[in-house]
Amino acid sequence: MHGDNLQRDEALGAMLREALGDGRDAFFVTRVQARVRAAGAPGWDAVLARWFWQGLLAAAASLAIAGWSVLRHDATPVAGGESVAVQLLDGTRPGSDVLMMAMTEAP
Amino acid sequence: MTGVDDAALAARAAQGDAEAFGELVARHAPMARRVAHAVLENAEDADDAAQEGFLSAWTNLGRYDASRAFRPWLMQIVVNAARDLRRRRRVRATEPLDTVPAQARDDPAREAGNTDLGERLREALATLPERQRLAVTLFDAEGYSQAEIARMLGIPEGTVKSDVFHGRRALRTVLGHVKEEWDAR
Repeated sequence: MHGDNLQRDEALGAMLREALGDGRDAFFVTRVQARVRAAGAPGWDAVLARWFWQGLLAAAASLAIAGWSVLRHDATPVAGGESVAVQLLDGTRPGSDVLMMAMTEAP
Repeated sequence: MTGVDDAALAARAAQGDAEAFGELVARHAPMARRVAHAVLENAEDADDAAQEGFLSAWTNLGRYDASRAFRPWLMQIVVNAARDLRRRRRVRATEPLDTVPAQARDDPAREAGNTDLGERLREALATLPERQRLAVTLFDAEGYSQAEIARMLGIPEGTVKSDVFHGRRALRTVLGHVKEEWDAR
């Protein structure tokens, strides 16, 4: 076909520019500039849209970290986590005598 | 504002400076109109698409990566706007815009009957598939590199090269016929 890189055909390019342009650029520019002014500056929605993906990623990362820490906390057994009943029934804790009394005197 | 480069103007425009964006419009309007014309084959539709492209660029300036050239970014938006409009027109008309007979596709010069070179070139362009039209216009007329065109159109560089080659061949055929006609006079 050609070498590795095409060389620009300047003559064809000039003819194409001539064929595709109509010399009425100034009118078009005025029209578009008026539309831009009428549209106003890009609003907060555009600014927020710019940060959408970053925000989404940050939220996802926060959720993942929070979820991981909650799961990790639940999975770790609490050291010395005996139930109140076991603590009372071992007979050495304050109030255990009252509990034993109540249990033995119950009808 | 003539001494200010595109990136600086785009940065000011991104802060809401409509004057800076207006300068970018003035700089790139001729090219945007020609590229849209290459897609749509109709000057009025091309202006609608180019305008839509500029307005879309204005509202999406926040997404422009200032480390890259502004012009290809803008032109990609214009190409997309032109292609969208072309699709909408097609749906509305329920027939393709490419209404050039198959005979003319085989020999673009046969269908091109008048002597105006610009008209003959536009007719010849209309016989090409859209991607070839864009590739040859962006490369030869607008000076984009193969890599930039590949990024803009979302195709491999090799395909750009092939499209430019085939597009040129068809256009040169037409130019050859025109030259023969002029020489015969």
